[in-house]
Amino acid sequence: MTLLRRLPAYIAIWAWVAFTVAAILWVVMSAFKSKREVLRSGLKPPAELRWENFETAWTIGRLGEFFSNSVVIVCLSVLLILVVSTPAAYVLSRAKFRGRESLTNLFVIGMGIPIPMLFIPIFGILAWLRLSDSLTGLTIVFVAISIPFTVYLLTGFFASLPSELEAASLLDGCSDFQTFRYVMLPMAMPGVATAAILNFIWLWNEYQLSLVILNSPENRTLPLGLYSLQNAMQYTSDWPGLFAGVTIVIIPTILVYAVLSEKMISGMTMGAVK
Amino acid sequence: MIGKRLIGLFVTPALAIYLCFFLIPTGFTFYFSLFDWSGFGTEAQFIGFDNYRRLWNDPTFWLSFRNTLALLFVGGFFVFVLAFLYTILINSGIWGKKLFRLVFFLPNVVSVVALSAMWAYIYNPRYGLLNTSLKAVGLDEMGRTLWTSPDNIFWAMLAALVWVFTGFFLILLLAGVDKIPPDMYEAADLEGANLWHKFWYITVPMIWDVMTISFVIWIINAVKMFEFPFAFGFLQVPQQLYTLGIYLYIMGFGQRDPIYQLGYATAIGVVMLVLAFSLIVLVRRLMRRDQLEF
Amino acid sequence: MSDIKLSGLSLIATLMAGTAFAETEITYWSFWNEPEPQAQVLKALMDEYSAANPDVTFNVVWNGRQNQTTVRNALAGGTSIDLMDADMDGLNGGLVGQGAAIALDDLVASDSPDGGTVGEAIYPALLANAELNGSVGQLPYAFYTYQIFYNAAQMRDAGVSATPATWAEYMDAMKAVQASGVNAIAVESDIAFYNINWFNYLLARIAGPDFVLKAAEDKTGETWRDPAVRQALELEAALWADGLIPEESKGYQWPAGQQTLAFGETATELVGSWLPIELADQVDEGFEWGAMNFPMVEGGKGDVNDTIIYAVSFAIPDGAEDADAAQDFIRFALSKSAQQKMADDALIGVANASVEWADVISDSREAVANATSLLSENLGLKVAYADYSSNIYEAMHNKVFLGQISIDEFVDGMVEQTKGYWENR
Repeated sequence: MTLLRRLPAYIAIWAWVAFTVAAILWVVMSAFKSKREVLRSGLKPPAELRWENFETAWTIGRLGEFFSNSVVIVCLSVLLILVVSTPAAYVLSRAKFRGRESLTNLFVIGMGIPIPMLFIPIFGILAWLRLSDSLTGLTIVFVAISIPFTVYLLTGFFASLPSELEAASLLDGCSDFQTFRYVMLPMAMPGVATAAILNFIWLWNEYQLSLVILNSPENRTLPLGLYSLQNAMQYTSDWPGLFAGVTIVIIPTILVYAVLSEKMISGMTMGAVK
Repeated sequence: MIGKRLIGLFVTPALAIYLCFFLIPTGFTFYFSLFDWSGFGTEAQFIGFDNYRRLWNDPTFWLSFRNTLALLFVGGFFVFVLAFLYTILINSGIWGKKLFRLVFFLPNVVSVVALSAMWAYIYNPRYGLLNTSLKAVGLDEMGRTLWTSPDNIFWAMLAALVWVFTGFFLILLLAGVDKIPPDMYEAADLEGANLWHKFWYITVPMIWDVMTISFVIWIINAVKMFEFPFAFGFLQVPQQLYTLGIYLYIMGFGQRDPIYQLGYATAIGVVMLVLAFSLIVLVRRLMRRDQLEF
Repeated sequence: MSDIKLSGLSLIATLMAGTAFAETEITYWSFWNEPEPQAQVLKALMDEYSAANPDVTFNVVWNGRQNQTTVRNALAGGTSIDLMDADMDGLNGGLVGQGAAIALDDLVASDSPDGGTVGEAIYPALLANAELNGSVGQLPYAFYTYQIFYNAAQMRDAGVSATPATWAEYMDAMKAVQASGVNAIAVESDIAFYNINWFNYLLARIAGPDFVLKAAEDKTGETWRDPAVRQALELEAALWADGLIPEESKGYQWPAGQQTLAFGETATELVGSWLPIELADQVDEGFEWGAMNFPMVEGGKGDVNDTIIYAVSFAIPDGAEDADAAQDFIRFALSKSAQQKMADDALIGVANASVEWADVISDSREAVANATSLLSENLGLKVAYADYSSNIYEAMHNKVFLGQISIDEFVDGMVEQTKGYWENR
């Protein structure tokens, strides 16, 4: 009975899942095909597994070298984003002071700024600080562009936390800092985790700004490597090579996501709804 | 009571980095929207609001503007209807929830160029997955549709985009729904509520905050939408796919054509900023509610 | 004692400073992506140059096709770049046209390692295209031609033996191909800058290569009502009406159209000379490429030998610290041996006229050798009015080409938009 009632739900979900899995499989499968096969053989499996496509993508795309750059820069950026944004969001949502609303809006404006507008000025500033073409420079910029959304997200989050505990803690003689550190921050951790994961996903895939800021090959991030590989493959019609590069990049991403998604879900669940 | 010192201490680092490396630099380019400037050398000519007057009379700008609005509202409509629908379905107590969640999210981790290549294969008039499947089930007439002809290509792109973004927002909404205490639904069941009632009177109010954040994320993404339609155009983005973000890029940064009108491009950026900001404020106004206690 | 020591030290210091001073690092920002064969050739050339000139090293940034934009940002930010490259029209419309590159006229007149001057070694028509307002601000080193590329075997099978010289002969040939059971012409519906070449060539053949620029510069827009425009569009429309371009092509997203050539389903495509290389690994073994000039339209004012090209040039930004060294490298890169290496390894057409090109594009070289003049993309419109060229000219043409608007609507639309463009400037 219940199974029958749920049948439409299963069909609708499986239709979507089947399509998506077929789509991703097509990408992965195409990575094993020959250049002649790739656009002609459709959903048919490759005639033989051409691992050399992966070798091509790996060696000429130098994806291995760029992987660690990406890990370091994205992790460091996310950490810094949280360190500066969380306290700011706390104050903006729970303190009472003049101009709080305008200050919040000042942060919100940043969410609407199109990134290409930052290209020219940021180059000048980083050059002036002697930080152009450096991972430090890119990290600072990553932090700066992520602050608006993170502050916005966490402000909403802190606002939804109950105020009783905060009041009680203050009555108990805790300082405002202690209240934040030992009472409010632990309650906000799920929201912080959400912010971390969203920022991680976005920064992990960022390439426009990276392309402008980083020049030296040894500084490149993974999306830059993939971007360059994609272009090269596209101009030489090496679609299997392109798909091999994409496959190399998505597999670890999927694994990381599969592990992290648990954390993220718990974060979101405790966060946005009290 | 949060003291003045803590307020200063907590806000200053974020504000300083944000101002120095994002807001002020961008503000500096806004200033250039008042100039006729190529971006090369220093010869910029002050022309007041002429760039904005030009925008007003520029058919390509209005085309990009219309496309952006279509993407924002039509795309948004489908993204959220599907995301809500699948949230309910996946949450209706079926087996394999975690797996589904993962699969729905997958398109978000694949590079857009690969996705575009895949969709080009799906839409190919002759070998494409879509048309061959339609013909296989006897829909010959429909199986001859040219999905990526100039009249259809925007909607074809939008369909692909909805497929990507539905998964993203599904994850957010699902997370909100997960937190609703199951006994609320059980109580509703006892009172004979149907699926719609439960959705409207329990789910929606309980995930209100998640919805607000989701809408805001969608607005930011949709107004600035660049990468996906850009990649969908491969070598050259056809005008049918222009969004404000793409037009800004074409005018200021040159793709195939040495246009390099940075001042003009910046004016487009200002329009995008105003659009995004006013929509965000509007959504926050509309969705503000008194704190509900449960 | 201590004096000797001191002078010894200062001698060492002087020597060190001397060597440090002689050491030159050329910062080169490139239009190619590192994995591309063109980049690999340039890399080999730089190594060769450094081996011959041990005091010169290179610091290369492979930016890919967005190079000029990236260079602009970097220059605005105060970075010093000694050498960069980009497509010729892009440079003349951008860095060079904006006066942000140094003049290379002296380099052109300087001695080439092969004897003669650097300029004399380059195809004269190509060098003429590089010139802007009487000065050369960029030096082309490689280029592609836009021609009708074809599957030679299929043409033979269809009984097409002689290269069609006129439009009537061309139509007959295409109809013969169609009758032999393969599609005659491939197009990519979404790539306006491919399709615009039909119109560019037809207008150049009918009304001469200056017509497009003249029409764009007519502030009333009325030049677009010239009968030549209508004639060109009618000839294009006939390609569709006669079924030489399959209706299905309206749904082709690049590379779907060119794939049909590789699969042997279509015989020809009007496209750049990169096509044989792009499809190299996809065509059947023994696939025989040919390329022909765009035919002459009977009674037209143009020249059948005029060929549209897409060239890639070196330029040196203003304020380059090692401009002299960069110029010397350009001189080397344009020498016969370096250019031969590029032609052989990257299978691209090269600027040095004495170099043989790879077999697959030998017809392309012949067209260049016979060309009266080489035309730039969109017949100069792209350099002069890039925004008009892309947003109005190409976009409107793609609509009429694919049948979204009628010829009348196109003509009226061009008149109106041209007028609007000039009022709005």
